[in-house]
Amino acid sequence: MKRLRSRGVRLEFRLEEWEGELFRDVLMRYPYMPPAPARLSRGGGIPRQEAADRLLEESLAGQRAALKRQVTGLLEDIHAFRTDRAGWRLSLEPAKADWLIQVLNEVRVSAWVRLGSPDDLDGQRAKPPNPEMQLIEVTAYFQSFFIESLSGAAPGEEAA
Amino acid sequence: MRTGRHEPRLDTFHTLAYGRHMVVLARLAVIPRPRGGGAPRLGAAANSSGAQPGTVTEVDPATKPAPAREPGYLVICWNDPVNLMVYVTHVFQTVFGWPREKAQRHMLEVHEKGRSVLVRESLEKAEHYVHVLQQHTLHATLERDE
Repeated sequence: MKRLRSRGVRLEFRLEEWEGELFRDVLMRYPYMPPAPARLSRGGGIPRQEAADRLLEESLAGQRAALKRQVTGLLEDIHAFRTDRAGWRLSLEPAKADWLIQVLNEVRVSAWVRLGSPDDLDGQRAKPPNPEMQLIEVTAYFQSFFIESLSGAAPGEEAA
Repeated sequence: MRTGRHEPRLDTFHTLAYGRHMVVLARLAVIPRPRGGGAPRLGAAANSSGAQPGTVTEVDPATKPAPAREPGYLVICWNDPVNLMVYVTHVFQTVFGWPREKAQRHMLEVHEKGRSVLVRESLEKAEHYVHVLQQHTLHATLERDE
């Protein structure tokens, strides 16, 4: 995966064929979190806690629905994500890269929750391959790359 | 009616002659004026003291209770083994508008101490921040600041 030098404000990326397919597969899983009650506070001491927790759940559900629409829109937008002879090309506005990182993290944390929320991820790596553990690694790969690109730590290369 | 020199105190009643009328001053306080001070305020604390309208009440700024600290709520981020350090820093920068160094400091505090108090806010704002942080799949809660 490479960041390409872009002419405008858009972020341009070149993905190998396997990377593009993996990226697509990860995004299509969103939202991946198993249902669980949301809690605003650990220790309580806040007024109307039940109502506040319900409001938080509604807020999270609303945001998941909105992000799902954006993910679907991105995958269907041939100007943003398309395949060519060299693999895949991804073109994003910086704001889109931001919510994409958020989506990737949701899949990552959800895979960890589905794995039983283990404290020791290194111990999990030593075990036989597990689809959830693979998702955790793959999402970290994409996330790190996008975050570096946004912060300018991953300089662009000339488009091939 | 009292006559002569006296030191009126709070919560006492004083009856004074005013022309042909007798005036009852409830809860009169005689206090030294502050240097360069302004005039005593009329009825400023009448409602809170329970005095009737028309009475004269002075409140000593020195004895007036200090305004209580606004009740506040702490937004706390808790450690977990799955969120990437670079991601947590990125979220703190995005959500709070912090510079990278400050965001990294809080991220490291979460990582090393298990939690970091990110901000102290009103209930409404603290709730907002917890919503946004949880939308970013960070383990964030709010707790009342005692």
